[in-house]
Amino acid sequence: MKRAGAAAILLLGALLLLPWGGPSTAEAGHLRIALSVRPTSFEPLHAIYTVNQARFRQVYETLVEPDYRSSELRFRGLLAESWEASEDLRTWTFHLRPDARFHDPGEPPLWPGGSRPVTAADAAWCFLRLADASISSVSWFALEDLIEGLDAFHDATREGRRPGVRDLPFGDPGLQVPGLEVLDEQTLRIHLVRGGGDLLPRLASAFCVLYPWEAVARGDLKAVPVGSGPFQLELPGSSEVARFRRTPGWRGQEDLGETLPRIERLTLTWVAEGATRTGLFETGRLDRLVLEPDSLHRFLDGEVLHPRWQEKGYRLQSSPWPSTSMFLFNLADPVLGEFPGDPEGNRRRRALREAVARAFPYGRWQSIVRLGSMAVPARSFLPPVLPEARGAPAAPWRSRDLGEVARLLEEAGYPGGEGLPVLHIDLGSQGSLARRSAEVLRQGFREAGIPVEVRLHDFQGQQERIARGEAQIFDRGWHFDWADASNLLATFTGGQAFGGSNRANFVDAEYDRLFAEYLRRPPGPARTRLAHRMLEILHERIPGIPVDHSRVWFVLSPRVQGVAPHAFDPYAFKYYRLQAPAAAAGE
Amino acid sequence: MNVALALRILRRLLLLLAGVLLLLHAIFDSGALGDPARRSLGEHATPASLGEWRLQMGWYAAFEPRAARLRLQGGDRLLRLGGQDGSLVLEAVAPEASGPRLAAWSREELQTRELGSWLRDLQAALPEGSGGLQAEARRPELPAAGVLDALSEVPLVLDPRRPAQDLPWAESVSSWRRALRQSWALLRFDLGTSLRSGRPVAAEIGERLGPTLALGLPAFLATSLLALLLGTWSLLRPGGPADRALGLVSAAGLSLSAVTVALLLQRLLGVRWNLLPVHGWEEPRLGSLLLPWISWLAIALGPEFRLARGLLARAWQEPSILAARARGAGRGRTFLRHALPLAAAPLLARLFLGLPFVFLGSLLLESLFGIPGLGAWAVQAVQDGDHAALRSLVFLFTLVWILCQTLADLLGARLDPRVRQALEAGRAS
Repeated sequence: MKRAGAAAILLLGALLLLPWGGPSTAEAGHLRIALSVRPTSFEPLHAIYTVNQARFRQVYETLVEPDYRSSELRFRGLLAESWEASEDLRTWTFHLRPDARFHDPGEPPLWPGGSRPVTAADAAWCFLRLADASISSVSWFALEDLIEGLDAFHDATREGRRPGVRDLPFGDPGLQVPGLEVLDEQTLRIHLVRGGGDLLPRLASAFCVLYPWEAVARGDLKAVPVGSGPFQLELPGSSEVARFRRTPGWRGQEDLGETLPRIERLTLTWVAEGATRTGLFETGRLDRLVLEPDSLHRFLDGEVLHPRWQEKGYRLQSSPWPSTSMFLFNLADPVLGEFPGDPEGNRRRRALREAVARAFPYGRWQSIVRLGSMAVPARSFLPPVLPEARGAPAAPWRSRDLGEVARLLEEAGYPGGEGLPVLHIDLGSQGSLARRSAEVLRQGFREAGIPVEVRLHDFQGQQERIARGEAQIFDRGWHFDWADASNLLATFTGGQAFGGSNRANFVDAEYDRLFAEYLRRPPGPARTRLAHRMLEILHERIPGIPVDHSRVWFVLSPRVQGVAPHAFDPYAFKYYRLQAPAAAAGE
Repeated sequence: MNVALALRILRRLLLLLAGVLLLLHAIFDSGALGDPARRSLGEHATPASLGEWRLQMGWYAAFEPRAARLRLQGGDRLLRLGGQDGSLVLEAVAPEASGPRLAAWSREELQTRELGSWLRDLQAALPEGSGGLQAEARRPELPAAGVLDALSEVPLVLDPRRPAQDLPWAESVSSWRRALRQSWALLRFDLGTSLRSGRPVAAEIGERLGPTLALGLPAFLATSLLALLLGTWSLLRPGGPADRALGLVSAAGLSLSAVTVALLLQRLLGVRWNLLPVHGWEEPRLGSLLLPWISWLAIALGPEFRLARGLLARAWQEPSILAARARGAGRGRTFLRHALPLAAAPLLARLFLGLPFVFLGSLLLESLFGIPGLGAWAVQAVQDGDHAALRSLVFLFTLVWILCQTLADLLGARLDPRVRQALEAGRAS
């Protein structure tokens, strides 16, 4: 028995001594990134799941892309070589690159040689497919109310009055809509229903990627992506691991005098546990780590990288995320809302909303819920990454002032809080963060003399409560789908109230007029002024309280050189540069 | 083993299987727990997608051309598609009477015709002013294998005034017929297609079963064996340092959560000492499996050790053992010759009870160490409402469970006459 035990221990010891772990075995030019959420598929219509975009961006391309060198959120051509717009921004003509090709990794390939040119007809077909309700396209909102005839096409396919793109062959005249005009192989003209100041940001979003119809017809696009991008999936892929290699024969892209992509291979691995991601990064098996609450203090010393990581050559990057966390008031609520024909009541209820805004425990929220550095406190509804946020008016009530709260409660008809009913705050999550948030809110409002009850729901339950009009004050996180302020400002328009994305049910005719004008304008000072005027209206009427904007912290391994994360294109790994193996010997 | 015992076990197996099939039908297909299509696709699913779901899940029968109708948009006439004598005939029908025959195709013609062009021909054959054809044809790459297959892909009517009638061209199948059909399919191991990935469930399970078994089977067997050895060691030296130490360690193991143990081992062996890979399913597989195996062992050994020691201690207290010891038989010899056979039946029962769960995969270890097994896949299937995947998993698990139970009974009956008597009397579990 003793001998058997000793033998077993010796065997285990010998196994452990074998070089299973050891130093990282990163190949030159091989970038390794972990995803915290499991991707669902390569189907371009599933771009609504942000995690899919990380994989899409390697394979699929859009007509234009955000120019990471511009702080003004400009766009540069990707599949489009150039474009021009009419003066009223209603007609846009895109000239596609003649050297752009779709590359098929499948075996046998769709075309002889495995590739074929990207044409203007492909772009028109993909946009039609995005609008095809018969295939339950969940990404349709990206082109909604924008292109002539596309909404009618969408409605017709929803009601079964017209075949969708899956039912008729590519290029069928029955599939054309007036707003998508294919002038020749390389030229697409888009006619809009209004001025399209937001067209380029929408076309640069992952919803508007291009892919060939043959890949859809083959029926395996979910697993075998066929795009025109710099990388190609190595088959077979899985939802856990996607290995990409540089697309053979890719046309290349010039950047700072070099040709993209700068890496040869890329592996995106789904790693469910944060502790495991941290462990993989620390042992040199990942090249980039996104810091999370659990790992934040392991790497950060205040807002700089801890010296022991700096000494090893690791680097820290921080990127403001295009998102806004806010608390909205339901303006159809009898205690807090606004109602036509009752100016006095509306004035008192507005005072109550302002009292809530001034009683909000901003400081504690930032230090306890956001751990001091996971978000940037909001000045207005627009995140600082948007050009319109610069010089934007700050919400005057967005600081805690308990004296002012007492005055406002009196103005609202509740002197000293007397007679004020318990206000209900609904949070749309139930995890530990939500419980922490709830405690901060309860304590903060109690100190301000405002009785609140904080209720936690799952996300779906929260959405249903809001839709039924049962929520009074509720949290809302808005992640920008594309790089334009209109993406969030639209959620306060009257047309979206009572059932649409305007969950606060805020209605203001002047705001709606300014928003319509805003959409028609090209980017520039006049457009920015309109955004600022809309923000002033929101600050005056207080449909909600902007709390903060997420901030993402990346730690980069010493191998990774010269990367500036773009808030609206964080997955553009083609820009990454990896140090030569000799220089990275310390790893 | 006598015939009566074999028949008794067989009868029990068949009853269990029938019960499970009925239960699967009740849970996944009967609709008794609400509309499974809506549960799976969500409240905002379109009628067409609900219809497709039901078609895929066997709620609707495949299309039969005898009764399909095409509706003319904006007109007051209907088209009838009739099939007889190997031909398919399209007729324009006035509401009150039959109208002219518009077109006819032989099955062969239709088979070789592109569905898109077939629909365009159909459109061209429509009467003047009819306003268009409400028809959808999926899969423009057809022709499919046969006419009926081709037509089964054509939802001929989607009348906007009847949105709830999701696929009117299909016929719904009665609940009992569905139950029979699906049970028969399961018994033939025709597991259907995953709603999430669109791939055959059998292929997906096949791909993931290997990693799951590679992780679970050696770890499970090693844990059971080690627990038995340590239990024996501890039992034969009661109150000694080894017994006390093992008791203490197993109590500590029981009081720590599995996640904590696995994370701690990952941190120490994988990150701090960098001895083993932290995550992944890379070559050599042995390297990827060592840390998950050690974690499994560390998590499961405490409870398994206590159970094994308890069962052995009970056998050790049996009067026959005490009598043998009283006659001067050596401790080791008594244990091996008498006590171990007595404890074998419950030990084997425990082993075979745990074995089926190995096939389900370990969600914790697979997720934590990145092993592409069945555990995480099953959870994803639950989250996605992938009924085909879930039904198949439950069915296969039940089969393995029944198999293991039967093996446990047979081995137990062979080793222990008390178990054999209980089985023959029909009292066994």
